[in-house]
Amino acid sequence: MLRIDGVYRPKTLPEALDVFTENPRLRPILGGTDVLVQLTDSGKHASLLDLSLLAELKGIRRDGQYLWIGSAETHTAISESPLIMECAPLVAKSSSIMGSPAIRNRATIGGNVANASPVAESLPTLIAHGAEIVLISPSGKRTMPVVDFHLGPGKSAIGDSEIITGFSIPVVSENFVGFYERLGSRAAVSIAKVGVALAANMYGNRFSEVRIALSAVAPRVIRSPKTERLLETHPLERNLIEEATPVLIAECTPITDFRSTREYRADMVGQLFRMGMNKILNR
Amino acid sequence: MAVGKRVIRVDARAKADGSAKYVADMSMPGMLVGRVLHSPVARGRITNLDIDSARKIAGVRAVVTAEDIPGGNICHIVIDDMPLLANGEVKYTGEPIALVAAESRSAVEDALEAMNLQIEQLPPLTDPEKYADPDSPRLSGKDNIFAHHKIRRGKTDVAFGKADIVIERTYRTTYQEHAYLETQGMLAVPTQEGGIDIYGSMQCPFYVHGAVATVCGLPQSKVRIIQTTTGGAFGGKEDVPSLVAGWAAVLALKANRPVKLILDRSEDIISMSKRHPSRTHIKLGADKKGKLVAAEVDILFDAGAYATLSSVVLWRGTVHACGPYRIPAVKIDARAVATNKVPCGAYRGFGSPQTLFAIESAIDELAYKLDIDPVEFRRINILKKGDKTVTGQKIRSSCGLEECLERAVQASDFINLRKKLHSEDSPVKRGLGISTIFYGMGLGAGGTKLARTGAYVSIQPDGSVQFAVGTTEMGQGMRTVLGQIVAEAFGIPFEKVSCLPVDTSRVPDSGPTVASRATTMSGRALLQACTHLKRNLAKVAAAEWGTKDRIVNIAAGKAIRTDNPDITIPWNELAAIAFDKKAELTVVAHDSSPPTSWNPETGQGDAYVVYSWCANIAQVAVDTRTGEVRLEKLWAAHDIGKAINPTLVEGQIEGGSVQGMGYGLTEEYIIDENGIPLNPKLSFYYIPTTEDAPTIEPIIVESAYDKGPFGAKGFGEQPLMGIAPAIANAIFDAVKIRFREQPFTPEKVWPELKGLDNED
Ligand SMILES: Cc1cc2nc3c(=O)[nH]c(=O)nc-3n(C[C@H](O)[C@H](O)[C@H](O)COP(=O)(O)OP(=O)(O)OC[C@H]3O[C@@H](n4cnc5c(N)ncnc54)[C@H](O)[C@@H]3O)c2cc1C
Repeated sequence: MLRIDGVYRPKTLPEALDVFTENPRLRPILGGTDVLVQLTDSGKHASLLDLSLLAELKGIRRDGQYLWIGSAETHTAISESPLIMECAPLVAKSSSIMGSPAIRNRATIGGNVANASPVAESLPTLIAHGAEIVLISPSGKRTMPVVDFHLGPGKSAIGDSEIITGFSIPVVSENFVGFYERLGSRAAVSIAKVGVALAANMYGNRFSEVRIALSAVAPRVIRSPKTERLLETHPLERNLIEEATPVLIAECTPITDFRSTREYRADMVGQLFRMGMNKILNR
Repeated sequence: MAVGKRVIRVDARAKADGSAKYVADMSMPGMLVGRVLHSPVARGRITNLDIDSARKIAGVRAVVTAEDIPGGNICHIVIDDMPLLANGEVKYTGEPIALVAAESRSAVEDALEAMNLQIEQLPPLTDPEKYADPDSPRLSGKDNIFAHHKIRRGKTDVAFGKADIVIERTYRTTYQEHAYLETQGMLAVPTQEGGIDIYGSMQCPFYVHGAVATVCGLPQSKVRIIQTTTGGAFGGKEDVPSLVAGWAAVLALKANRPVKLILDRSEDIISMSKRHPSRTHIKLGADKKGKLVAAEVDILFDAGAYATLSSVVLWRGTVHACGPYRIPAVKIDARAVATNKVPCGAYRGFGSPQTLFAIESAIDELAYKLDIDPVEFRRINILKKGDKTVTGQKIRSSCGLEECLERAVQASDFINLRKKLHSEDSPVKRGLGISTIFYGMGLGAGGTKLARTGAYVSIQPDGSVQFAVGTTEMGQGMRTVLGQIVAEAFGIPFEKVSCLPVDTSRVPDSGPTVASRATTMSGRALLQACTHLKRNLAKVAAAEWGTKDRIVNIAAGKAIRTDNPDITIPWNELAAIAFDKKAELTVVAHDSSPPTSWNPETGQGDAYVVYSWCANIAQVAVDTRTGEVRLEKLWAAHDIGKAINPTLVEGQIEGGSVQGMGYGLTEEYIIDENGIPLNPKLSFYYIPTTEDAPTIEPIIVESAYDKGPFGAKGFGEQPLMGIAPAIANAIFDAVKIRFREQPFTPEKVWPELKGLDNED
């Protein structure tokens, strides 16, 4: 049962930080699609800090070589933004396939990342794009790579009374290639069983600046440095894909649970990687 | 004329715009919130339950345990073995132990916690195949068997000797959760005269009526059940609403206040009924020409902790276990056994999807063994008019299976399409699978006592007509279809007719709304009532004309003189005159279903009054890289006697087929070896979404049933029943791998595919 004792609805970021500092146990909420489910399941008492009125957390814009996405932007807004499709296409894609239309209309990218699930849709694509997360607290603003922010299931580097304001993403170059492939248990409204995101620049048949991010195959969304290096140091051809697949699989540590098996997940990392790579090869 | 028309459902607008009132939308002055304390373990003895502390929580108005039940602590279904509340011991995770009603939900939760339930755990029996192990606990009787049904026809040992090919295979099916949109819920309101009114979501108001009277210790005359708009049921609201209503009722009596008790989704999934898991072993033999000669089938159903409906569910599974085929020698043994798991019950198809999955897969396997095309093999063996079923019942009429098969084959262009699919060069392999099935309409010989219906029809002075029946609307469109039947009977426009809510005090016991029986059986009672009223109207018209009743015909919405059809009285005028003359314009009719017969020793008899028939052709795509199976297209031909409303028939075909697809592909409810459910959430129990739905081509076949209203026979369950085997057969067609255990999830399919060509 949901037991909400109170809701604070600050109108500005400074006000929000004040309230949060005074009440560090408040639970921030944006779309509520994770928070409300979790509180209903646990039955625990909670007071909420509703951040949805803060203009500072909104906005999708380009600042020079960086794309800014405010944490309160919904997956619908992100998946429909021509700017994001152009500057960080994988982020648009992950937002377009998460949940259902109703969920996408409420759920935000900030909530998705803060929730720190190893299956979170936006994490692998933000990480593949080399995104940084911007956080603010009464002691100031700080920035870190999204890949360092996610620490484990439900665990992140967020500090006390800290609020995610948004994400700063390097705009892709004209040589960008990439993919985000994922498997669910049905066509929609299905948490990822395995996800593979790859972003890189491609010059002729040579990769550079490869970033691969894998979801649902380790306690947190991980990069795969060995595979990335292999791709960066060899020309793209069918052989390379075959050579790289086992290397990639060896970099993850999937588990067996009631949703899937370790063997299946591991093999699917390879299959999704192959599917994505073949698209690049045949492009 | 209304029958055969695509009339829009009377409940469509309110359900679409959100104005329909479900029990959750209802409220009463002084209404309390009721909730249930459930067992967190599968088997054990209750060692602590602190009622006093719970009662002391502010706002708590009633706490009820087994000891406080005013009547019998029994939820009557078939055998009286299931208590309303556990008494000392628990037998499954989710078993109800105590009830609380309070002014607020949070007071209730605090009281449930304050009870500090402690249970000394005992080792549970969770594997049904171990029901007879000496080490397994005895949960029911001496042998853990709730029911054993048999069919004996001819001598199978002799017949197998004559077979050229015999296969023996084992098939397994797992749980299916109903996942109705609206969870179980009831509102109980004590009346001034010491009785109780119940409003709620249900399929079978008369079951609830009996159950509530029993637990409350009240005469049945003081109990009234009113069905509220019901948000889906699928069998899941056949028997368990009796429990939920019983809980709400005893709380309301104890608090002497209205109590609303609605289950949370997870609570509902954990503690309410499911489709029985099953294991079916089949030995099937045929001669070289492809004629089936003998079948032996051994069936085991995992019933869970209490008998509930298992005996009758198993009976239907038994009667359908050999499919719609002519087999001269048959031996079937079917058992439903006890385990420390949630009691299973009714679910669309009622025991037949399990056994049909087995036989339809086995038929396919045997066809391939004989090197006969699976369609051809069915042509040779399916039941036709004049044939006998394996229970020895002669199919006298209304047998449209052959037409279903041929029309599905034609519509799909089966032979050419199959060739085309097989010639595709892709890591995604496609194939076609077929299933031919049948459905015994109504309760049949397994439920003769319940096989009755009543109907109330009242012609108003303005010529509009009100009617009420004792069967329920749960989304299948019954209110609309029955309205069409009434309109057609009088020959008046559909808009003149309206259906009242179901209220047990208005209509005689009409049995349960199950077994696809409502259109046919309530339709029969309504037609009786209409015939009676037409006779009364004829008298009125005859008196007006000063002639004999005999020469008056009530048809096409008027009274007509048969000796001079130009002389008529239009409907509204006729109703007004009849009212003035104080004619009897309100009648209650009683109908008893046509007879059936059954010999429990031999399993021979006329099991059902009539059968519906169906052929499905499924096109699947198997992604050999990921093991994902997609049902892409489905041709579903159903012989339903008469489509009173073709749109609603198509709706049933589409909805049922998608539900059957979920059963075949994604739905997997897992209870671990300790009896603990692992995924009682809709986020991890995957019912199909609209995005998963295949393209469905419904094909309606009308082979009239002479005792049904305008030829109609029921079929609401049938669309689900044959989908899982059609998918399994199509997967085999695509990749030559046989899956004998549903659901066919990628995790199961992928390991079998390894070794196949995986290249793009
Ligand atoms: C039916 C359904 C389907 C779903 N499908 C998917 C799916 O396919 N893929 C997927 O990845 N997820 C899915 N989700 C999960 C969820 O929708 C997403 O994680 C979503 O992006 C969360 O966003 P929100 O705005 O609703 O977050 P909220 O629930 O409001 O918050 C989530 C967490 O973030 C914290 N938080 C929120 N905003 C901030 C902030 N600015 N600063 C610091 N902390 C903050 C909250 O305290 C909370 O811990 C699904 C959920 C549902 C109910």
